[in-house]
Amino acid sequence: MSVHLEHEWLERYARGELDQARSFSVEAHLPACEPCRAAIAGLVDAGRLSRTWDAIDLAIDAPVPGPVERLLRRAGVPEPTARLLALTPSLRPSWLLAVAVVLAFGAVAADWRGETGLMAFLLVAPLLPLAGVAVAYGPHVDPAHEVAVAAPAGTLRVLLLRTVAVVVATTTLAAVAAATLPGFEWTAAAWLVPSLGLTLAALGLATSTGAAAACAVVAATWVCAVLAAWRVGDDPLTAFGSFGQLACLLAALAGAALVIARRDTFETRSQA
Amino acid sequence: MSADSDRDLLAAVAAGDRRALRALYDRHAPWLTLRLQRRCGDPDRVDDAVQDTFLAVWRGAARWDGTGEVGAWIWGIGIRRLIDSLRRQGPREPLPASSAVAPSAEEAVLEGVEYGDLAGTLNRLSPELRAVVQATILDDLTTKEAGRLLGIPAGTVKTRMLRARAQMREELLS
Repeated sequence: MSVHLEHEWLERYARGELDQARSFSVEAHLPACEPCRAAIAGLVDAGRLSRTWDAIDLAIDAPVPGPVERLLRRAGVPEPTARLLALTPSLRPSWLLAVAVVLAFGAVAADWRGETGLMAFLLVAPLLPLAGVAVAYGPHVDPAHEVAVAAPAGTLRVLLLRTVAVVVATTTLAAVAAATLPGFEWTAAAWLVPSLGLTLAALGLATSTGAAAACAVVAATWVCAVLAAWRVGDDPLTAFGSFGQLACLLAALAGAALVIARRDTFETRSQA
Repeated sequence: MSADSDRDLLAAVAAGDRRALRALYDRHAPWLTLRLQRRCGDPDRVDDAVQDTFLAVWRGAARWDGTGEVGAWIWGIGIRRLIDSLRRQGPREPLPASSAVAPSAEEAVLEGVEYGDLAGTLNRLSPELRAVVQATILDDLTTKEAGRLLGIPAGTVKTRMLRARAQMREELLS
């Protein structure tokens, strides 16, 4: 460009004192003219520009949030919470895919083997959120665990947050699988209360043993109880009758009570 | 001042050269900051928009289609980042339309000499009409984007643009 802007115009423009028509000229000229850009660069607060550059420099090095985190952020979840949730090992796509495969096998079994197959589905469905919770938080499964322990967020809060997310995700998948079962009726939903009971019971136990061990104990108890009920009642679905549902509800309440009563132990256990 | 052209710098940025980004920043951040500042009175918001713009340049340099000026491309990103940030803030008081100072009588006469009557006509538009002319013509925004920037509905942008056009036409022809 052969014609350049008068320096006085640039000075007045930088101070916001140039009239509109001349500002139009300045703004149309600047993006493409290196000498005038260089001239106006000296009129902008250098400290301000270098602060902005420092922020850019930092942001380039920051990791780009993954799709889960971006989705959560868009849904209005605050950034720290979104980051905590997105890092949950049992919310990774590979984990959820595994859950979906297990549920599909359960649904197929229910289709082929009638009541025995349905029992297999109902037995497995509550174990899935439990397994998710077992690996949701802890020194052996979470690469960010030490950071999380050192963070000013309570361990219990992190654990509950992730538990809720895992339970919602797996329960949604299980509900979809149950809805595809042949001859869908109430029995197909009989896993709902047990999954709540198992998860809360495991959380309650986790106050004294750590999440992974608590989940293992609860899972083993669940499997034994369902098989024993089958033996005693001579019906594969005995454990899912009204008595079984009530027992699961009581387990849920007991687990919740334990968590509330012993919430402080999470802070001290988390270093284990 | 390095002799590399904006295009060379952008190609280097696309290849991951952070010094090239710094060079582009030194060239373009000052005028971008000033120009955005004239459209938004909040300096923090402007600085955030500038920061977002150069992050977008860093991540999206490879996607530049190579047409037009690099400076115009950067402006397009910058003004849209600013609009996004204003939109997230929700409904707000419309800004007082730019800080442009009314020219003195002497300047108004000189303007007639310098550009014919166009500049004077532009300066005599009311601030609301001028802001709309600036957003749609100079900033190359759509009606919707201009509305978001100025905090008014898109329909109002259209009617103000029609009024501005009518007023300028009348003044220039009379």
